[in-house]
Amino acid sequence: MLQFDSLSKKYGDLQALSEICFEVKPGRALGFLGPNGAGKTTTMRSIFGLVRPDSGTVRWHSLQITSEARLRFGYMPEERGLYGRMKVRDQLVYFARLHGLSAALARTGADHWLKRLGLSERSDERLDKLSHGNQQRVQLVASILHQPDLLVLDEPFSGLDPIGVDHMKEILLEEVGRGTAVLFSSHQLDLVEDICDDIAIIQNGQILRYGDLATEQASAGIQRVDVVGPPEGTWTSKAPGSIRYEFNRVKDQHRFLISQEISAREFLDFASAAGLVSSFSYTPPTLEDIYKETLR
Amino acid sequence: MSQFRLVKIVAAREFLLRLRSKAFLASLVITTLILLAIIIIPTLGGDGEPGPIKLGTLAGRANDLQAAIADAPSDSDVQFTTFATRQEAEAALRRDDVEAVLLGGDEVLVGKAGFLDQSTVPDIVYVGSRLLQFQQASSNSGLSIQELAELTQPALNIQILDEQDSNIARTIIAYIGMMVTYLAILMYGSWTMAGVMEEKTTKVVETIVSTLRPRYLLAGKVIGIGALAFLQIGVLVIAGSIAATTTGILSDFGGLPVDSLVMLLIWFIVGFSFYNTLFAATGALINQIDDAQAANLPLSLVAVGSMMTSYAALNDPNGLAAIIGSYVPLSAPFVVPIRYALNAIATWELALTLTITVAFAVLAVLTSGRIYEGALLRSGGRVKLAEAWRGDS
Repeated sequence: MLQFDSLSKKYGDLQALSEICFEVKPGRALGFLGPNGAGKTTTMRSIFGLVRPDSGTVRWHSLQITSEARLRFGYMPEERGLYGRMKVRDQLVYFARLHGLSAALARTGADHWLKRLGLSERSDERLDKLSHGNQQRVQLVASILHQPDLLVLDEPFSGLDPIGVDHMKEILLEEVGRGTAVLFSSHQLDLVEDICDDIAIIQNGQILRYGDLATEQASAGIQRVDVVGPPEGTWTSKAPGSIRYEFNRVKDQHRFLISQEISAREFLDFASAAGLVSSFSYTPPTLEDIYKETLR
Repeated sequence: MSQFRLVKIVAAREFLLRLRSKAFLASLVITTLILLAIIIIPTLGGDGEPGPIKLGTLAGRANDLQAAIADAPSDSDVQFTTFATRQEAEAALRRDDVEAVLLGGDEVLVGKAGFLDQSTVPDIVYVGSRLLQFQQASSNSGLSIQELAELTQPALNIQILDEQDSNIARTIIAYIGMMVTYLAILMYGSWTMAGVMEEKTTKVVETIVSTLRPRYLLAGKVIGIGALAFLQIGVLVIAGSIAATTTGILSDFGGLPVDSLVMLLIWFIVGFSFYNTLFAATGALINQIDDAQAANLPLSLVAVGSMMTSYAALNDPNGLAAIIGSYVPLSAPFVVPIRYALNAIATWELALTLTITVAFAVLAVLTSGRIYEGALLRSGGRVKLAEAWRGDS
């Protein structure tokens, strides 16, 4: 288990991290969310000793993290870093060996992954001859070839096409299934919702919300209500417990974010008074709802 | 998993990647060819079967000089061609069919004037002319040619106080060693710097230093590139030794000076290690390739200055420049092997400068390591030395 304990870091006058506390658990994926510049990358870099905190600690299984411990970690930085002029396979073998794998195991692993990604034929090409998406796949493999116990990925989905996104998702879920503790940041909240067990939302260096996604959805105190039928009117602006309202013209759908205190029955009665309701749903908030509410 | 094993993996990558590169291959081939040329070309002149010396004479001109030349002792055959007219002789001279034409009496015609005071007249003509003079003097004086020849030689028995000082082989080794050290420090230094910059600008370093402490990454890099430098020097030494033995050039000058070679090697290792880590630290301070040239300059200038000091030491191994250069750690690896080769340095001096330089090298490696570590993970513009030293990442 990875534990951030009151981690603080100041760059000049800028408080980059302020008393960061959260945990990443084995066999679970934690989605690390927040606007640009909120402190996500700084937090992740602190795990690898790339940032020296002013106070607080990062621990792995309750112990101070050493270079030795990091052999069992995998890291994919936001600014991708591989040797452009090195051959793809050599590169994977090299990074696996730097994580302690024997040369033979590293080669077997590299061949396995290259085959799986359909890159076997290009294994002797220089990395910079590959497309952006393929380079990113190689970078991912470089971070997981040694079967890490902790996997940290900074914006793994950025710049990927839909197929690439599916591959990445599949591999991340496999890693979680293997028992790896996975921490990744992303702005693609729908993806995070699909993959993550836990979430942490950070802003201005402070963790605003952290916990199990299902629990957070249940305890956010809000509900999402979608209504199709009655035309837009005064009922939409005067809806009970309404926090946010928007109209989806394509689906002809009214979307409400309302206080949990209003029951489904109550809201349906209210909507029906405005006209015939043809479709009605009363569901827990999406991650996007929670995210926006948290940062509001 | 010890960090030491990881250092080996890094060193192996640095070594193998460059070993397979065209740049290394080209530099290996070119430096070896240059060395072989230096050794072999001077021996070509005296080697093999030189052709006969071709001289012309004019028909109908009595020529004592021709007879004397034919009698003169010589390694080469002399071939005479008789021309009917002077015009024919001149034409043959222009075609290089003959090297000189004896016009009769003491007159000799050659194609062109020599460079400075060098003459284009073949040596054999001088020897013949000398012999003619002796023959005439002999018949005038009644002394034998042998007695006359002895009279014209100075009667001195010259003894050399310090035979070693005139050992040309040591000077040659020192000179070549100095050039190789200089080239290797600059070339491999710039490779190290470029490698560090690549890792920093592409952020590869962030992935690597998560498992390997920066100073070990630095160590692996310098060791790998150092091994490459050794390989190149090894090839040069072996190729050079074979060429020198085959041509017999070193035996002419007193044999291979092994102690001088060993001294060069020791100083090379010391010099290479700290110059290379200093280049690495320089690379870590840079964020853009554009800045590399400017950042590279101070260290390169120091190396050039050191090389020039060692050149001065070659001319005057006991001069002020040589002595000061021996005790400045940055120039000592260049200067001391020269003074040692020329037997111009006392053992206590050698011990003192080696202690100073090794101490400096250790300090430089530690300092560079810290600067490298501090600067490597910072980005955005050129990193200030002080910031890198504090390492506030």
